[in-house]
Amino acid sequence: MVNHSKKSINQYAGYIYLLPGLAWIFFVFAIPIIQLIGMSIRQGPVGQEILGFDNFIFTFRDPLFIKAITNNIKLLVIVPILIILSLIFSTFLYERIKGWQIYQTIIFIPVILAVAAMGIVFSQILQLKGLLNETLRVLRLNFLIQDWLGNQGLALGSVVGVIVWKELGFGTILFLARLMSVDKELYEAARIDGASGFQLMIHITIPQLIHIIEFYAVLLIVTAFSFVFDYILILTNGGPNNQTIVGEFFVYKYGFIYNRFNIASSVAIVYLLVGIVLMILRYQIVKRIDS
Amino acid sequence: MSKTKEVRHKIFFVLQKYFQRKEIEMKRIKKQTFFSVLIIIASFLIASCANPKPVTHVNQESSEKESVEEPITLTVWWWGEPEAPGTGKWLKDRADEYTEENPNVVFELVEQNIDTVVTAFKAAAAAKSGPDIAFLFSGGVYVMEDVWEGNIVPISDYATEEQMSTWIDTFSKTYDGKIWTMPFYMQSYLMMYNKDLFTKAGLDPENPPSTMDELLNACEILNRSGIAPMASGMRDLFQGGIYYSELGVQSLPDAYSIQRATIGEESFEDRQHAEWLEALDQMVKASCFNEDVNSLDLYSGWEVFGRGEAAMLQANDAFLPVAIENLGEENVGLMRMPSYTESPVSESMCYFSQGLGITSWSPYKEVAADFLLTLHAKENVDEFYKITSIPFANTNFDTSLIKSELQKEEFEWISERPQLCPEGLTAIQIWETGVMPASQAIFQQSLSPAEAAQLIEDVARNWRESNPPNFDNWITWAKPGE
Repeated sequence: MVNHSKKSINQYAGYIYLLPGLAWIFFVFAIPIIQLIGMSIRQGPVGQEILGFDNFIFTFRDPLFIKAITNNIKLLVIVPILIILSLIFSTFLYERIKGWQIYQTIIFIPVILAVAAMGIVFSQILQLKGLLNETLRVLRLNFLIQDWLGNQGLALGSVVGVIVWKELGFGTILFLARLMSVDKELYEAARIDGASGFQLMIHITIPQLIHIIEFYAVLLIVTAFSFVFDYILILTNGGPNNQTIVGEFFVYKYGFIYNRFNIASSVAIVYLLVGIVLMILRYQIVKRIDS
Repeated sequence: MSKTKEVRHKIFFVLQKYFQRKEIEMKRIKKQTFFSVLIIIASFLIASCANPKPVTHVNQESSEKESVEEPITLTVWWWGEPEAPGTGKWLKDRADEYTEENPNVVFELVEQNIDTVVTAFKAAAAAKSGPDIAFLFSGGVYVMEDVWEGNIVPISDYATEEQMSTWIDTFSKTYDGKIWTMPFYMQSYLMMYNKDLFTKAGLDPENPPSTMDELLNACEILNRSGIAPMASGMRDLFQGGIYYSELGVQSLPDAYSIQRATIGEESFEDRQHAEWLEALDQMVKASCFNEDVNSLDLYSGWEVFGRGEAAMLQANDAFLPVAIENLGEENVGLMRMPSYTESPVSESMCYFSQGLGITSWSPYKEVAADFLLTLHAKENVDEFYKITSIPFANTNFDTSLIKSELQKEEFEWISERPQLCPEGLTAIQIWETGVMPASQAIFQQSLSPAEAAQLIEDVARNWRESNPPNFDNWITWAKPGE
């Protein structure tokens, strides 16, 4: 009898150990998401009239939301740019080029800078009469002078530039750390066989880094969808003419400025679903790569 | 009502207030509650047996049970130091004076900061617990949301017509025939010009342009002299709102026209609502602005004028002391935004006062109102200016106290001209995603005036179709008297 009870306890022990973690997940993630769903189908706070999917229908009819989600998709351009640049820089650093330690530090500095401080600096640099244009003027490259943040056709591209500048260091260090653990004999053998630098990159570096690249790509996709608010708020405030508005900024505006938490909640739900779809896609891609 | 019942109510409110104030000290409350209950029971027994003092109710109709004898703590959430430095000292002095005259009333003055002044009040309103008096920004929709959600009570219920007759900026605080917040200190939009640069360009420094044609002509002359005509920074939207406030009102038939367009009775594409975009477009096409207008933010744009690099600036009065300090008072002149049309409201001016409101959950509304009304006593109004150099929103203010001739001129304008500030008269969403981006698009020359007007109307239509809360109240607000 006693043995039977012990067996039962042992059988469920794992689940019991999981309980604190599950409770944590429930309170920290599940409850807010349930509340978010509750808000997204109402007109006002919880307890007020239920509108069903009206808020979602309104959201998808709103051209500003379409602009926001389009801009988020455009921001995905940072994924290939940052992966390629990180690969190139990490390879150079791996090759121990002269002064590599200084370069490594310089590349990593933007990562530790606060987005707010960096945004203010860049909003000055990118002004029509800012440092960048003045430098171009001195270099007699007047044809390149642009109103980087003030021109609605260039503003989002300028934001991409700033994000790349800020995030590059992390990718480079991440890739470099993995490269350090790659067997050097692989490279030596390939060089003896006459492989070029490009071939080394394609046939050794990338396959060896593939899981780190995949991790970094996921991180960048999440960044493009959920962590660009600071950049937009400080650099462009969503302008000019709403051309740089993104999902987070849309949620912030509707929730905290227009006092429309219900619309903001419905947009947050849409972004949550987009995030889930992306994660599933990523899982499928990884599965195929592994197989 | 029997004396016993009165005392019981009194005890209830004391206890309720006690719990509201001490929520964060739960542990201490638990200990103290026991003793408090003992004291309350003892008080109740004594009150039942003894011949109680007569309790004077300030307002018999109200359900409040405040009395002149009752110990009262009024909690005031205030803000204003960044705009009117010295507000805190002035407020404390007034509170101390009030306590001296009414020893049973003490104050808890809690300064808010710019980031939390709105959100903290919204949180308090949701819990129906918090200050007795709260700072509320300007008027219009910024106040109406709290009116419609039942967060504040009208100050006009506690003031006489005579008292209210001297208040400045009551229009933006009025709904359903009542004034909901008490005007505090003043703010206004001002256009200023650099007399020195006018002279250099060959323009009359004493007669700035007053019509749109004159302005466009002045822009041409100033540009020929290598001087940027007007300083602006459009990158962060806000300057666009200021232009709407100054240009947009010029063609409106009356003060409620913007609300009517908001609810859909008029369209933002109608001529009277869209004409300002044409005027702005003309100004942009005539190169009336600094070259880097689209890449500067609001304050960077103003600094262009402050550095003496542009001849005119449409800003607010907070920048006037900066302009005077940098350019010298003799070189700064005040002007009105040149007009492109004549309408019943074209003589109006965009000025507003910040406000102080009485919360609906305060058990001491009468006392709170009495305190607020004392702030408008002439000596207090004058004292506010002496301390802060910012005029109080009362026409009794002694303008001889103003040392700066420009500030004196500004206050005279405020006293004489009707008030109309479009910013609070439409939904914030329409303002920020319609009006301001539309003006940005004009500066970018990416939309024609008609397309920009369509953008605003599209946003407004979108807002109307999105089940906005309190839409019925918007209709009542837009059509007073109907």
